[in-house]
Amino acid sequence: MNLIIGAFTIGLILSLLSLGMLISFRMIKFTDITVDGSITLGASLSAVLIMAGWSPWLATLLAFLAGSLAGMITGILHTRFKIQEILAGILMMTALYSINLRIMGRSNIPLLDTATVSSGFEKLLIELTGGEAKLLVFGWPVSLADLAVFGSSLILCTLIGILLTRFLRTHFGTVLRATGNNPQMVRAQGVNNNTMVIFSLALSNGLVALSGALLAQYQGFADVQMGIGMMVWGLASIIIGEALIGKTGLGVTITGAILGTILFRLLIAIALRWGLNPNDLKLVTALFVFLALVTPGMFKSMSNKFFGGSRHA
Amino acid sequence: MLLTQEQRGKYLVIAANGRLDATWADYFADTCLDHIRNGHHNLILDAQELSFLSSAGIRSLLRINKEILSVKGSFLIVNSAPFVAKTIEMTGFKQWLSEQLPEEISTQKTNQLHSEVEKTETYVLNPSAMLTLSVVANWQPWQSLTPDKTYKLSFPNSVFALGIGSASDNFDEAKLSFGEFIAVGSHVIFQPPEVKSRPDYLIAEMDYIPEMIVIQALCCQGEMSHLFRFSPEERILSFTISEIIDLVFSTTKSNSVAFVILAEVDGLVGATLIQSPGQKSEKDIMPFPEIREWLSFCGDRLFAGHQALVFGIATRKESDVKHSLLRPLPANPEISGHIHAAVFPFQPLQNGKIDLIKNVQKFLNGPPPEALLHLIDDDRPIVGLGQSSFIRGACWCAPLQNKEGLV
Amino acid sequence: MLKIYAISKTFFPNTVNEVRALQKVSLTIEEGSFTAIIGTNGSGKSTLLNAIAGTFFPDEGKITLDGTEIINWPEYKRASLVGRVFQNPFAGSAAEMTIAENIVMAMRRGQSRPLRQAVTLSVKEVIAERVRLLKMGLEDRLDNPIGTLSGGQRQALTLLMATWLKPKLLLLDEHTAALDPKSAAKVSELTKNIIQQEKLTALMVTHSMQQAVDLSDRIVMMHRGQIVEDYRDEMKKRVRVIDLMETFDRVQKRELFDESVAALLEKQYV
Repeated sequence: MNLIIGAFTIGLILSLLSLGMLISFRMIKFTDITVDGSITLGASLSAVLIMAGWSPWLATLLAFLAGSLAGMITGILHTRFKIQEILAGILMMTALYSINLRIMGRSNIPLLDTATVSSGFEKLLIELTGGEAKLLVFGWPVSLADLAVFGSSLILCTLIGILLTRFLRTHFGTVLRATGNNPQMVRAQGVNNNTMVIFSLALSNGLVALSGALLAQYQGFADVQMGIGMMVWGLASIIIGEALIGKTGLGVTITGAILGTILFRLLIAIALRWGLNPNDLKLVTALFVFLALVTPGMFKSMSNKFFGGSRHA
Repeated sequence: MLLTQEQRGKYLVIAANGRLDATWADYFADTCLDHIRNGHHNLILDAQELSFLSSAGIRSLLRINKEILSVKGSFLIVNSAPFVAKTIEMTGFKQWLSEQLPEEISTQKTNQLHSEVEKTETYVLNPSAMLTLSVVANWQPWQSLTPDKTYKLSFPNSVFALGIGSASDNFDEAKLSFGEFIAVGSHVIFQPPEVKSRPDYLIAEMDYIPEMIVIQALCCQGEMSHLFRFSPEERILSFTISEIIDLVFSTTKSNSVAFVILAEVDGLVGATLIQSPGQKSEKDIMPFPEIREWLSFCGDRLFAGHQALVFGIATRKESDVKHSLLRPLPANPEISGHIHAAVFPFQPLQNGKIDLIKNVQKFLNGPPPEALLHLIDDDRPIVGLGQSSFIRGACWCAPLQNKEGLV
Repeated sequence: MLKIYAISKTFFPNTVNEVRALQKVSLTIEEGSFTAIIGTNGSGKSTLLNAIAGTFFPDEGKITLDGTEIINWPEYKRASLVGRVFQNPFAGSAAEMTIAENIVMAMRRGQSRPLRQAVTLSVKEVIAERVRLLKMGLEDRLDNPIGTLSGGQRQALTLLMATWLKPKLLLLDEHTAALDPKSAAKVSELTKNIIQQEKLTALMVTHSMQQAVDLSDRIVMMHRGQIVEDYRDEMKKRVRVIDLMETFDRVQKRELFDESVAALLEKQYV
């Protein structure tokens, strides 16, 4: 049970990464590699600030802002200086590697016995259960700390999902979604599509950094290497989400990304449990994404089998 | 509808199999009109397999009949089934129906329309006829124009002429409207020199004889001595203007000739004034690109399938008729000439010996002319458009003699 | 309304591919007029339209629209004054978004984009009402992605979007050229109706001379980056397709009249 709760928690935290990437990769159609750097940025900045005694909430918020700044720079590199989007992302990601080392001062910061964003929730749980350290969930004992992290992640994630959905449905959000679809049309409607790209990348990388901050707090450390391959994981999650419930609407797409991430983490947890060498994990993920990209019909038919095929009618 | 045709002597027998109704009427009429255009002026419709004839079908038969009448041909319907025959009779076209084929029709299929006659039929009109040339050439391009350089020319029946002139009767107006003209037996076609305007024409009527103020003209008086007809055969699909001129020389046995051609066009190459020379005042030489404001060049072989009325003069080197208005033809530099052509929408010409003036009249009574060109032999390497050429038609010609000085 | 003063544009200057797409073109369009621009391929007609729309900046010249100098305005800024329909029926709308979402974007063309829900029920009612006038049955499909529609339907919607807020100037860039004949006729008809009802000032580039004659009240002909003919008022009412063809022919003949022809005529033309 601990394993499942853990997978769900990581899944919920990383779903913020997926949501961020949903904005860049899917909505404005920008292949943004900054992600690998900005998730570490969020983790390292929040870790350093929490260690320095800042409020975990404030640290997490600042991580979000730092990620936004990184995304904004990538956007400016692309739109202002006409650098190809992939190269712009690579430049920013590479720069962030050094920046993250600078922030942390070393390659790894442990976060032991420090307050996190879930601390308040944990206290509440402890008061409610009257001091028990563990709670029975479906007959399995689960530590209150784990439950607290899970619960707060769930609340945060749901909140952000709803906010994002509502935001994307506003006038501004509608134009943002159109930007990736047809920049020409967006210009013809009087909107500077370059500004939209910069804003979207800022929002996207802000969410990614937020995910990184929460991940560091959950894992109890920030590592300069932790971002490697995160982009591919996020992509895999998005693909699974789309295969699972499709992309017929905005709410569906966002829910799909969240559920996809959770399922992906569960699959990984199961695979690791069955003896998959953790070092092979990224290879397997890359293969998975490769297959998903070259066989577009595969997942669609898979989801049709799951849901009786009526969804796409 | 299935149409099969068979040449039998001068007749073309067309067997129609199917229904001549609204669906097929246009196809049927167009096919037959095409035959008429190609010189088959005696059509017989074999209606044995014709199962139905509607009013639309009757209308197409009327179109064909009208075209055949205009070239004095004949149109018969044979072997018609009772229903078809009754329809034709009741609509009042009984004269088309025939019990049997005409007696003089050859019993066997023949290969060609005129197998028994020569490809170019020649008719002698008046062996002693001659044309007398007088020249008006007071103006040379691109001199400035003054009233003393103009000349008033009138066009009675016996005059054939070409040149640059205006139909206005005073110099002040005329100087704005000098353009190419062609005159054949009191029928004058002229091109007002404006880019947008169509050719205009003057026709002698009652006491009226057309007159023009001209600044350049080659004017021939007299009558034509010969007429020859030309039409394509197996290997020759069209006749270039210099081939026709060669035929004119050999027909008239003269070193200087004038000729009128009425023929279906294969392609015309030429130039036209688009601004009256009277409007110019300064320089005598017109450099490129200013020349483009004055002359328009066809740029392509034009007017295929139209009918052209051509008047020209050609002389061999040995001839004593010489003038700066006659320029060497690139196709044969031994020959000099000057040729204008007026272009009309297509109308079929009758076969055989036909009258020049009557046919010119017929054209001017029909749809208006579309263009008037000074024909040019474009011998530029690679991009050259070549000479004007014609598919089939008639050429009237006569020897030419000099008359000194002005008319 | 629209005043263009001597704008020029040369693409790939000083290379073998140099194209002098616009050569000191000046044009004044009066308020409420519907002008058609015709011309051969590469005549500069679309380039002129793009110069007005702001797709690129001309090398020289000035453009004022409704009294405002707009030559330095970027494309998106000009959209506040200009409505556009493109040749490609897919260029004017966002394929993956719904009909309603596409239209709701056009309802605030050139205006601020507030953080309020865009497609509300009341907005949808307003949209359905206008879409119903297209008589294409699209009012029942407002939540379908616009990419599922045919080219003609999308172009009709793009036209509706471009004119939802009355533009100072409507630019139509061969907007029926990529449609099948039936859809093209329908969109043409729609164009005429909308422009008449809303009393719009419009500039239309077209390949179809028939369309130019039928729809517009002024026809400007371009060739090699220059305006070679301008039929307006009484002249336009008189002009028929065949006249336009002849003018084209004349312009092209002039083009073919080069130095070698001049030499030829010097030898042979008397």
